[in-house]
Amino acid sequence: MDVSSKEFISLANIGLENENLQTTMNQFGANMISRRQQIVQQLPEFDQLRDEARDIKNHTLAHLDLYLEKFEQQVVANGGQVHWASSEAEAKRIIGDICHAKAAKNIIKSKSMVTEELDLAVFLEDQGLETLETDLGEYIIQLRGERPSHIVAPAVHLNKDQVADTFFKHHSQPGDNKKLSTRADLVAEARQILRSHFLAADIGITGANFLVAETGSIILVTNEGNAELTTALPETHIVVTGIEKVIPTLEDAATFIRLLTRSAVGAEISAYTSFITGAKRSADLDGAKNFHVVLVDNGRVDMLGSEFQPMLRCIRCSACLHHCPVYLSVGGHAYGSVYNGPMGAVLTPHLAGVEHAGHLPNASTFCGRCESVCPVRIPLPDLMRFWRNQQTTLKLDKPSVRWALQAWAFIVTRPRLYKIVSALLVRCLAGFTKAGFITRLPSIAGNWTESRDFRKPEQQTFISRWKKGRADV
Amino acid sequence: MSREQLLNRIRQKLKVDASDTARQQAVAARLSAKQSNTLPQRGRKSHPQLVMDFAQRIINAQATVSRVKSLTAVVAEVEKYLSAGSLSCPPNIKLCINGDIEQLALGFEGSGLLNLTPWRANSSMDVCMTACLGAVAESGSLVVTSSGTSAITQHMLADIHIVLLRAGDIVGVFEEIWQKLPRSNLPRDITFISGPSCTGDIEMIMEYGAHGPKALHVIIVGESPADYQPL
Repeated sequence: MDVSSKEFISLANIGLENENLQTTMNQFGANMISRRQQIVQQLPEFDQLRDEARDIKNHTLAHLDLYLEKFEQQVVANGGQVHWASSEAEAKRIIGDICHAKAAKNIIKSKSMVTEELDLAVFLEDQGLETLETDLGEYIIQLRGERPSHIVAPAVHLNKDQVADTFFKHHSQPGDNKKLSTRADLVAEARQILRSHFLAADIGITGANFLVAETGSIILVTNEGNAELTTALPETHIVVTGIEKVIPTLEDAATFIRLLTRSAVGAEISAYTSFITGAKRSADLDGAKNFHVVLVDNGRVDMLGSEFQPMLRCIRCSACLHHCPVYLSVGGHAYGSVYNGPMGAVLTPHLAGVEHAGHLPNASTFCGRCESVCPVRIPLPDLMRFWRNQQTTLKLDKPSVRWALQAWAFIVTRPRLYKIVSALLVRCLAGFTKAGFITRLPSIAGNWTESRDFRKPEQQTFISRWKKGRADV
Repeated sequence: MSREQLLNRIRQKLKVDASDTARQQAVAARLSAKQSNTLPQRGRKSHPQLVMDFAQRIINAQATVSRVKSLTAVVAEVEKYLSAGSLSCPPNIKLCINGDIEQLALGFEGSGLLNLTPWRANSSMDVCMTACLGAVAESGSLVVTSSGTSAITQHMLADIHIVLLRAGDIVGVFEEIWQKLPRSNLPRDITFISGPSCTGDIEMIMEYGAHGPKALHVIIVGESPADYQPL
């Protein structure tokens, strides 16, 4: 997985200075948080379902080998084939081979984060296989040559006018001189263009939201209906999915469906939720005759039995993104990875290597909102803290940062010294105060005041006030 | 090659042995018990209430719903829906019915307003009418399945999708749908449809008719069964 996460600070600055993005993200965050809150209030059992979902995932991960074997057995029994891919390269080779064996000319894709992780569309294009994303958001960013800025809403960073510009550039015929101006017209144009591709495609590629071991079914959740067309029209359907997506039974699937869209978009359910089980039956009127499932490891097995096993519970709902003040400020592209927000800050260092993850584990205020809304209760702040420790242990952070932290640790673990230094600092800061605020500090402290002011500190430290008596504190 | 390697690495990381029968039994027991997890109370009500809840939820998702007493009233209801002002359908509109509807012999041939057309997946269809396996009240979802008389594309490609739903086939929670299906031999596709096709991908505002139907109309036929027991 290629990442540019080391550029976090410069990418974040680009996001912070982009007025369009700031307006979009402000509305988006407020909107998603209130939508989720409202929909969760209407289901009193929601928190109980979260506990159960966490337990189902823990049980499945502890027996992952057996559930994957059962899943494979059921896929085969329903006329499909299962492929096992340890690495990104192996997954790409398997998928490329299936496409070449079918002499595929037109490939259509339904949105999938695993295929983003593999950068699959680019790989297939390089092999001369035309590959088109059909989820509207994915289609827009494919035309623009961008990466998704959100794991569920990939084009959330763009506004209507930017989409209109993109469509005009790619769809307009000679002589056209009018850009589309309404969302409805943009959606209609994409529908018309993509419909002809759906009908002509010989291979459809999807991800999977869940795999059901009991029946060998894959579950696809969309609002647009593109996954249904991707799996029903072409002759061959390739499912590309992570090994951690498996759950035991259809009953368990019901629990996860109750949680997924409520957490993801604040809706009770999506317009379409499909359970696809194997290949077209002989009497069926439609459906892919060739059904392949590619089970991708790509670093997931290494998380088993480690501190990161809880991260394998993740159902890619994006609730943690919507509730992260850092994500909502800098936007998804700042993370330099297909996985962004708190879940990306945990996953990217593991998948790409902590040495390539730059500031991602620091891209958090540790406010804990991500963990508090996670439908499978992943301790995201703890996992980010683990990566921070790793970066310091492996000396991946700047020496100056390390020294500063060592100095801080030296002072803070010596109460007397701490008292003297903090009292001194309070007095020093008073000298920089203008009208109750500190707006400019010298030297490296200037990095802070460059973009924010803060109130002047109290004239006494907490400890000295505490000594005078609790009532005063 | 990769399969064995991958499974072995999983066992290694989990520090378990492939021959551990206790683990195998735990998994076999979990799979055969088919135990429900917590069921939401909202799906465990009297049947007439579930019918109302289903209709309200799918209407909230921008579908339309009408109720008729019996199958004999369905053709007139379809004519009424398609000639309503809000749709502004042209007269003699092309209607396709799928095999499930054909088998019911509802009498569409006698309709002067509707022009029955055979199904072709490669052309643009105006209206397609299909049946369904049932519906779920807790989420307001229709449940359709693929078969020799029901193509998934028939539920997806037309601009307007009309679904015939028998009131008695409405259940409270998802788990009751599994009881209606042969679990060891599921249809290739089971799709829960909870509204017309839509997308919020541009500025997070919903637009309808993304890739599937622009409009979804549900005709509920008949009364609630007296003997319904919620799960």
